[in-house]
Amino acid sequence: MRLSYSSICRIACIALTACGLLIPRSWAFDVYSFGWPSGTVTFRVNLDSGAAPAVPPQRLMDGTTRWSVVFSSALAQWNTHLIRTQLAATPLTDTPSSPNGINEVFFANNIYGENFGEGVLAVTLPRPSRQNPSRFFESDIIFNSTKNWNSYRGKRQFATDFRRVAIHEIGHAIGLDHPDEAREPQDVEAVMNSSVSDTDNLVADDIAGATALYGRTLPQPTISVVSASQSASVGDLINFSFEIDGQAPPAEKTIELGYFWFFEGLGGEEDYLFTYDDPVLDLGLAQTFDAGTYTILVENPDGSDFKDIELEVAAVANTPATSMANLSTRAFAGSDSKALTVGFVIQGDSPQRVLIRAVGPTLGEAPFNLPGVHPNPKLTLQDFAGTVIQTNDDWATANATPASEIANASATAGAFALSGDSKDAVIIATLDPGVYTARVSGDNGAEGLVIVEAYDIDESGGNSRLVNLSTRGFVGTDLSVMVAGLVVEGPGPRTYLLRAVGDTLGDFGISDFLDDTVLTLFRGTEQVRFVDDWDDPAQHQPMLIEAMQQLGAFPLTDRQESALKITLFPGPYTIKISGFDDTEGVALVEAYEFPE
Amino acid sequence: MQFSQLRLSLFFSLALLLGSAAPLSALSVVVPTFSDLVTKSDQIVRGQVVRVESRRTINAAGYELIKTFVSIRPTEIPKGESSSAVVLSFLGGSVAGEKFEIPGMPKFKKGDRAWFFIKGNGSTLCPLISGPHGAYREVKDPTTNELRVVRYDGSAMASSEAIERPPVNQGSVRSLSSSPPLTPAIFRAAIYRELDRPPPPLPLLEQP
Repeated sequence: MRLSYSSICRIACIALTACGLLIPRSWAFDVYSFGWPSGTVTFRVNLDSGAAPAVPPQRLMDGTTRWSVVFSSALAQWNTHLIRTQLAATPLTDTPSSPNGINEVFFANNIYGENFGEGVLAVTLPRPSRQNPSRFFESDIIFNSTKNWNSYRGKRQFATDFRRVAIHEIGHAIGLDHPDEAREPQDVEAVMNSSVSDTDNLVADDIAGATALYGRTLPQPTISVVSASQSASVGDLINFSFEIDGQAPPAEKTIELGYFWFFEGLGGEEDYLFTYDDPVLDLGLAQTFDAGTYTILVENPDGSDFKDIELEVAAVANTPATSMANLSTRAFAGSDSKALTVGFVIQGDSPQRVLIRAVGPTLGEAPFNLPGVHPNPKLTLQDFAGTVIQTNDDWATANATPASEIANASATAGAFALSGDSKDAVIIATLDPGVYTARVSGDNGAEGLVIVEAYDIDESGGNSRLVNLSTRGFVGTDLSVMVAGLVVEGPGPRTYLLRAVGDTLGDFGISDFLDDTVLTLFRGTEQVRFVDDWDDPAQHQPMLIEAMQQLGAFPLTDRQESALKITLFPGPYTIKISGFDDTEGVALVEAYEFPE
Repeated sequence: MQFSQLRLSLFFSLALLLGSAAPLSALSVVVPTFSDLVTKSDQIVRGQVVRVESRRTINAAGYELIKTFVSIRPTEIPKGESSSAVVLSFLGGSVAGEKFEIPGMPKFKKGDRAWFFIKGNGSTLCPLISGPHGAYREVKDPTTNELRVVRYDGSAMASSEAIERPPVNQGSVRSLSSSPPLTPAIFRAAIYRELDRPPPPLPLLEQP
C-alpha cells in the first residue's frame, strides 16, 4: 500500500501523540522532609465561636451555615486520596497553645501574640518532632478573623473563599509545600501553588503529592550493619557508617527513609548533629572531646530503628618543641574591604628572621596555571602599631634584600622558585617578638588570586618562632575560596585552635562579612575535619569558649561561625574557608597555637 | 442614574477590580496593588541584606518562637523613618537543627539586593506587605548584565503595575530576557510618583 504525504504526516502525528500519552507525567509537587504516622490525624477545630467571623443570616454562598462544616469538607477532599492516613476533626474546647503536640484550627486576629500583618489571610505552623525528625509534632492552622470570608466554588469573588484556603492550608499541615516555589520551580496547576487561582479543588498534582506521602504503607527500616564501637587515640581517622536492610543508605533522605546522627559526650546531653547530613559520619582526626556515644537513628513517620556506637579516645601529650611553620594563605586580593591582610605573631625572646612572599603572577604560569591571578601584588609589612617596616612591589627589583639572597632563602625554606622578571612581591626581615601584618594591595585597582606565605628562616638558634596565623580577605566560590596552609613541625603533636570568623567581623565595622562560614581541614589532599557551625554539637561550645579565652581570641557572636580545637601531628595542613550555600564575603581565618 | 444605582455600579466595579487580584496562599495572602504597597507601607527600603540570623525568642504573649532577623543596609529609603540599618523580623526559621519553617514565608540570603515594602515590623509574623509580594529583588540580567527589578520568586515584571497580576506561565517568565526590563530607575520613579500622588477623594456617602 502506498501512503500519501498527508497520510504519513497524520500517522506520524497520531504516533507522537500516543507516545506522548505514554510518557509519565513529571509531577511538580513539593514535600517537606517529615510527615504524619499512619492512622488518624486529628485536628481540634474551633471555627464557629470565639473570634470566628459571623456567618451571614442567609448562609454562606455554598449553602453551609458553619465554618467548621466547610473545614470538614476540605478535610474530606484530602481524605479521598489518602490511604495510610485519614484526617479527622474534633471540637477544640481549650485555649490554643503552641507547641503542645495538638493540631489546633481556629480563627484569631493574631498568631500566638504575633499580628498577621498586612494582606495575610491564614497561616499554617508545621513543626517536626525534635526526637523523631521524620515525623510531625503538630501543625496548627490559624485563619485571620479580620478578613472578609465566605465559601463558594468557581471564580474568585469579592470575599475570600474559606474552603480553598482551608484545602491549601491542610495541604501544608500534612507536608506539602508550594510546587511553584520548589528548589526547581515548576509550572503546574495546583491548589498547593503559592498563587491560588480559580482552582477551587484538588487537582492532579495535589493528588499526586498526597499519594506520594500517604498513598502506601511505609516499610519498617532496620539497621542491619553499623560500625563497631572502638577505642582510638587522638589523631586516628574515625568515621561511622551503617546499612539499612543490607543496603547502603541513599545519599538523599526521603519521606520513606530519613537518617539522623546524635552524639552524647561524656557527662553531656544528647545533641542532634544537625550539620552532618551524610549517611557516613566522618569525624576525621579523633579528639578527646569526640569520646562518647554516637547514635544513628533511621526512621520514617511509621517506624524507626537506632544503634549506638561507643567511641573512646586516648589523649596524647602536647609536644612543646613542635610549632607552626611556613604559614600561607591563598585568597582573592582586591581593594578596600577585599584587601588581603595576613597577621602573624612571633613569640620568644630573640629577633626572628622571616621570609614573606605575595605570589600572584607566578601562580598563573606552569606548573600552577591558575586562572584569575593577581597581576602585580604589592606587599606592605607593618607592626602592631601600624608602622610600615618594609614594602616591596616587584621582588627582584628595588628590594632591600638582594634577589640572590631571596632566591637562596626561598630554596632553603622549601618555597617554589619565582622567575626573575615576575611581578611577585617578597620581603625578608628580622623582626622582634610581636604582632605583625602583611598587607597585599595592587596598583590601579588590580585584583586577583594571590598566595601569601610567611617562612621562619632563622638560623641563629634563637628561641623565637611563629605561633599564630590570621588572614582577613574576601571569600568567594570555587577557586576564590580562602585556603590557609600551615606546617606543623617538630617531634610530636601539638594543639591548635582554628577559626573561621564571619558575622563577628560586623562588630568590627566590616559590613560585607561572610555570613555562615564553613571550615574544612585537610592533611595533604585528605579531608580530616569539617566544621560548619561551632554550636554543633552544642556540648562542645563551653570547651571552645574556654579555649578562646585562654588564647585571648575575641569571642564569636554568631553560632554559624566555625571553630575547632584540634591536636595535630607534624605534617602539612590546609584550612579551606568557604561560605555555606556558596555565600561570599569577607572572612578571617585564624590558627592559634596553645601554649605549652 | 439614581444615586443608589451609581453606588451599586461603583461597588460592582470595585468588586471586579478586587476580584481580579488573586488571593495568594502560603502564608495565605492577598496580592496587593502597587498603590497598596506604596501607600500602606510604614517604610519603603531599597537595600542589601547584610546578615540573616535565626534565633529563639520569647514574644510579648510569652510564647517561645523561632524568628529570623534579616539585617538590611539601606541605600535609599523613599518612605518612612530614615535609618542606616533596618532589621526585619520574620516568624519561623531553623536553630541548631530545630525547624520551624512557615511555608511561603519570604527568605533572604546575605547579599540579596531588593526593595522592601515594610509594615508592622517587629509586631507581625511577616514585616512585608502580603508576604513575598512585599519584596522586589534587583538582579543582573544574564544577557545584558544590567540590573532589573523582579518579583521575590525571580519572575520578571514589565512594569510596577504588573505587581497586582500573578505571574502568567511561570516557567517562562522566570527567564529574565523574555520580557521587557523593569529597571531600578523605572521602579524607583514609579514609587516616587505614587508617593507624590494626592490622596483619593473621599467616597460619596448616601444621604440619610
